[in-house]
Order: sequence, then C-alpha cells, then structure tokens
Amino acid sequence: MTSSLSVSDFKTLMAVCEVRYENAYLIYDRTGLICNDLRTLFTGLTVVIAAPNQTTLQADEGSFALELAQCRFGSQKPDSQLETFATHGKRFFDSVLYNLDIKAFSRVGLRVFFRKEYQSLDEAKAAFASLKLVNVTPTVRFGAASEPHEVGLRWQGSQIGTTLRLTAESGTIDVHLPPELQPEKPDIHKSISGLLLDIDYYTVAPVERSQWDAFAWITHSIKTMKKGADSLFGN
Amino acid sequence: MTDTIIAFPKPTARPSLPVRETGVALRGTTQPVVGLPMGGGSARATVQSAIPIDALYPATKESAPDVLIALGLLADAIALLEEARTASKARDMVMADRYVQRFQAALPGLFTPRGIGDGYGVIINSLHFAFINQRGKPLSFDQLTTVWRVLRELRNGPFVQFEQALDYVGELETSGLQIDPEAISELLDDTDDEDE
Repeated sequence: MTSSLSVSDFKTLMAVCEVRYENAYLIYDRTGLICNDLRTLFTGLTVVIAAPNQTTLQADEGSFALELAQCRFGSQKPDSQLETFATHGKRFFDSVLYNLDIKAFSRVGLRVFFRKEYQSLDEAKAAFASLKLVNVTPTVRFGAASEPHEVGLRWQGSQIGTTLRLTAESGTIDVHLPPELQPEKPDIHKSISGLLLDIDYYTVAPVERSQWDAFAWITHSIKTMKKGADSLFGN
Repeated sequence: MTDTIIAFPKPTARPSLPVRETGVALRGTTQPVVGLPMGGGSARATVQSAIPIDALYPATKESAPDVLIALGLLADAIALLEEARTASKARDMVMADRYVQRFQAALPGLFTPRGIGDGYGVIINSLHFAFINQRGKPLSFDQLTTVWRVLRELRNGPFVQFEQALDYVGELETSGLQIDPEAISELLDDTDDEDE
C-alpha cells in the first residue's frame, strides 16, 4: 500500500472549539442572559445541566459548555470546511464574551476528529504503517504487538501548538431494539474499522479579544490543520 | 480499540486542571502564564506578550479571507506612514506628504474588508473623512504619529470592539483631525445654535 493518504480522504467526525480565560465571575450574574441569547440564536435549545460554575446546553446545531474559566462549542456533525460550525461558534462565543466581559484568552483551541473507514482493522493498520510515522524495528514489544497502531505527536512553540494523534482502530455498534419496534430484525450490529485522526490546534501565547474572531479563526485554522497533516503524510 | 472520547464532555464537577487539551481531558497542554487584564479597561500584555497577529492568522496561498486582506493592506499602510514620519522628522515635508498621499490612496482598499467588524470600519471611515477634511493640508508630525499608532493597534487587533474603536477615533480627534463628514459637522453646529 502506498502512503497516498490525504486529510481530504477522511470524514470530519467531530469538532470542538474552546476558549479559556481567567475566572469570569460575571458568570454568576449573566448565565441566564446568555441562555436567553442562545435560545434566540439556535434551534431546539435545552439546558442539560445548570450549576453556578458550569452550564451545558444542547441545540440542534451542537453542544455548548459555559464554565467559570472556559467555554466551548462542539458539534458531532460538522461540515468539512467548518464554515457552518464556525458560524454557529461565532454566535455562541460573541454572546459569552460580551456578557462575561472577557477581554483576553489564556488559550484558544480547535480540536477536530477525522475518520477514514477501511474494510478491516488489518487494512487500517496497513494504511497506518504505510505512513511511516513511527521508525521502530518491528518486533514484539511489551508482549503486546510487533508494530504500534497509534501515534501521538506534539509540536509546540511559544505562540502556537498542535497535537496530532493517529490511530488504527476498530469498534462495533450494537443496537438492541425492543421487540415491539422491530419484531423481524431486533438487533443491529455494525463493525467499523478505520483510521482516526485527532488534531488539536491551539494558542500558547495569550490572545487579546480584539485579535480573535471565532469565524475567521476557525475557518482559517482548519486549513492550517489540514495542510500540516497533509504535509506530515508526505503530500 | 481506542479510548478516544468523542462524546461531548460531561459536565461533571472537577478541579481546574492546569493542563488539558481542547474539549476533553487527555494528555497535557502547557498552560501559558496569563498577563492580560481580564475585565474593564484595555487589554494589554503585562507579563507575557499577546500572540502576534500573524501567528494567529498565518498567511496562506490557498485562501484570502477578509482578515488576511486587511492585515496585508494595514502592513503596507503602516510602512508608508513610517516612511512619512521618517521624512517629516528629517524636515523633508514634500517627501513626507508624498507618502501620506500614497497612504490616503490606500484607504478605499482598507475599507473593502470592513466586514471583519464595526470597530475596524469606524476607524478606517474616520481616517477617510479626516483626510477629506484636511483638504490637502499636510499632517503634522504628531498627527502622523497618532494615525500610525492607531493603525498599528488596529493591525494587532483588527476585531476591535466598536466601543474601543471609538477611543482610537477620539485619539485622532485629539490630535486635531476632523473625523466627521462636513455635512454632519454643519448639522451639529446647527443643533448647537438651536440649543443656545
């Protein structure tokens, strides 16, 4: 198998954008205001958990978490260019940053999970090995296996950092339906094998609020992430 | 099998972890020392400098979003104003004015990516009217320095909030530049007369 993998071969599984800041004590006064804002901005919004320091909300567009020192937006159905994701994220972050009067961030991160499916785990492992990301002699180590099937790498400078994890994995989905719903086919079983690519792109140096716009940063960062991963894959 | 957590993190109570990755708690990310004031006033680095804007939005060949267009044009504009300041300092007023005129010609281009924010738009718009109201009169060294400094601030924080942008516009006014369109000034004068 040749190492002609590209990030464009992967399906975007999940994306999370998170900003961290010093304790924003206005959360105690304005969480309700933010929830009210979000209700007008998103559809089907429900508060899953509300605690003084931490509120989690769910909408059709994704999940929101609001905490004393961080907030994040995540979607399990993001578009590949993250433009829709970024549009929704901007609405959320603009409301939070305005209402909590946040002027600077200690860290801004975008984490995206990608998956490329293969027929079998062996095929996924072969694709993983073909990338030659790990340079160790194939021999059984730790009594476990001769070749690793997961690699984690981190590049971190004084301003930007990235972690990348690539895993050959397999899993099964087992759904047991109640007999009254599917009397002829009560169970659904599906086996999934593939490569999971997990990239976390984040800032190391503090970011001023006037420097950051969720839409601009997310849509720009996803391109940087894909370009960096493609470069690692030898493209 | 993988232990990757791909569900949205459960909001269970937990202590603040100094090292975490985005969204889910896995292996560590070094948390930087934060030295920026978090509430009220203007945000300025006190302990650790804020990230350079070019690191946050690195230039790419593939795409040119508004922010990258603005950053490129602002860099050119700042360079022109630096040249103008240098010439003005050397008492070469003709050369200084030549650079300022080139800067003025770049203002419509700077207005093009105004979609990046109201704060950005109001600063560029104010500069546009300031030059119109100058009616060809050269800028003083102090005015040049103010415009240069405001543009440097804008380039470092192009998503400046409208309220903060008004502070910058106020600085332009304080330097003696008239940043309102003439018609507005006349209307304001009329209103003042009526009040009296």
